[in-house]
Amino acid sequence: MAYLFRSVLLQSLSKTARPVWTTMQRNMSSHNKETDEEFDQRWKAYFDRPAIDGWDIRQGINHMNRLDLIPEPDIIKACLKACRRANDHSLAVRYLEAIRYKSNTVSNKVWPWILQEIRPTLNELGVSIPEDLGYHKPELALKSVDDM
Amino acid sequence: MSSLLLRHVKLTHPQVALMLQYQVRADASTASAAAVSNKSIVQTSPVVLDNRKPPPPLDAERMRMHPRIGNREIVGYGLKGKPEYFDLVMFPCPSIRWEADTPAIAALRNKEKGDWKQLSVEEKKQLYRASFRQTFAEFTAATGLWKWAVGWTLIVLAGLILGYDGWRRIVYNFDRPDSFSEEKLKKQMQYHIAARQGPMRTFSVKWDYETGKARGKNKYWITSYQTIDAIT
Repeated sequence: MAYLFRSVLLQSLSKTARPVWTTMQRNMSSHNKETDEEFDQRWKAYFDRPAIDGWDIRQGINHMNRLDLIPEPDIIKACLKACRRANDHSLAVRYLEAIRYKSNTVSNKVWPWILQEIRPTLNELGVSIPEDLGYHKPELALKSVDDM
Repeated sequence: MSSLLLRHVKLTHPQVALMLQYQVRADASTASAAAVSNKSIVQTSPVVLDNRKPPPPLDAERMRMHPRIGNREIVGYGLKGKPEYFDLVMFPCPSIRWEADTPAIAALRNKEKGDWKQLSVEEKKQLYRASFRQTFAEFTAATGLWKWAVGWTLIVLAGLILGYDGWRRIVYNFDRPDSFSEEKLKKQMQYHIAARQGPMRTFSVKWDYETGKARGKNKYWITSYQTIDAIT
């Protein structure tokens, strides 16, 4: 500890010629911040890869799910098509469920809008939305013993 | 093998587990060797390694995990890169499927490679339940646990308060200080009144110094001291 203090003191002694604030470097704004359009393009390109496999789709879904956003309909369409290429219908349903849950925490107007936007892709691929499968309500919930 | 040994020797649970693990590894190595010749084999045993796939390299991680997750397919990275199943809002896609590929499900997966419009709702549901245990609506449904929590919190708080009350009654059982006695309190009030204290709201404004009695309608503050002889 004493050694640490001593070295700090020695440093400060060697720098006392100038006031500290003139030597201070401000590391600000040296990075290019990604714009929203670039973000959308990046994720759309991620799901648009022709050789994407189930592993990468899941990674993308899990990653996007923990970001503070609801993906654009274009990204959702790309992901649904990726699920089609990977031949995993249940993964597409799971993705729609996750988006539905996330949108409904914000407002109940978001999910109908997203559905309306992605409807052509849903019809083209034959993907069932959670409401069609009855997954908008707990399907296998046990009846309460008090109600029997 | 284990039954033969168990007949003669008493084994502890970890020892039996180790022996079973060894047996599983031996079976797995032979099974993967057999899979080279016949790739279309669908195995139903939960501990034998992959079905319908070229034999995997028998690395340590795979040998460690596959006896746990059974025959279920590892399909992603999941939560922490471990082949474990979770239904979580933050991680919608777990790393393994919920069910192993039974022949029925394998047939459905073959059908899934075709047009999805040909799949019925029932088949889509079966496929979903083979991949995932619960839907979002199911695992985010309210459990009503908050009622239990609030109830037990109030019960525990009531118990603590009652306990403290009993404890303080036992511990603080000395006499009250004599300044709490009737005549001392009276004396105190007499001094207050004589010193014209509380001219706005309390004492002297409610005391009629001419008749030497409390006045006004609300005399509750002085009810037990009606007989005060004010020192005026």
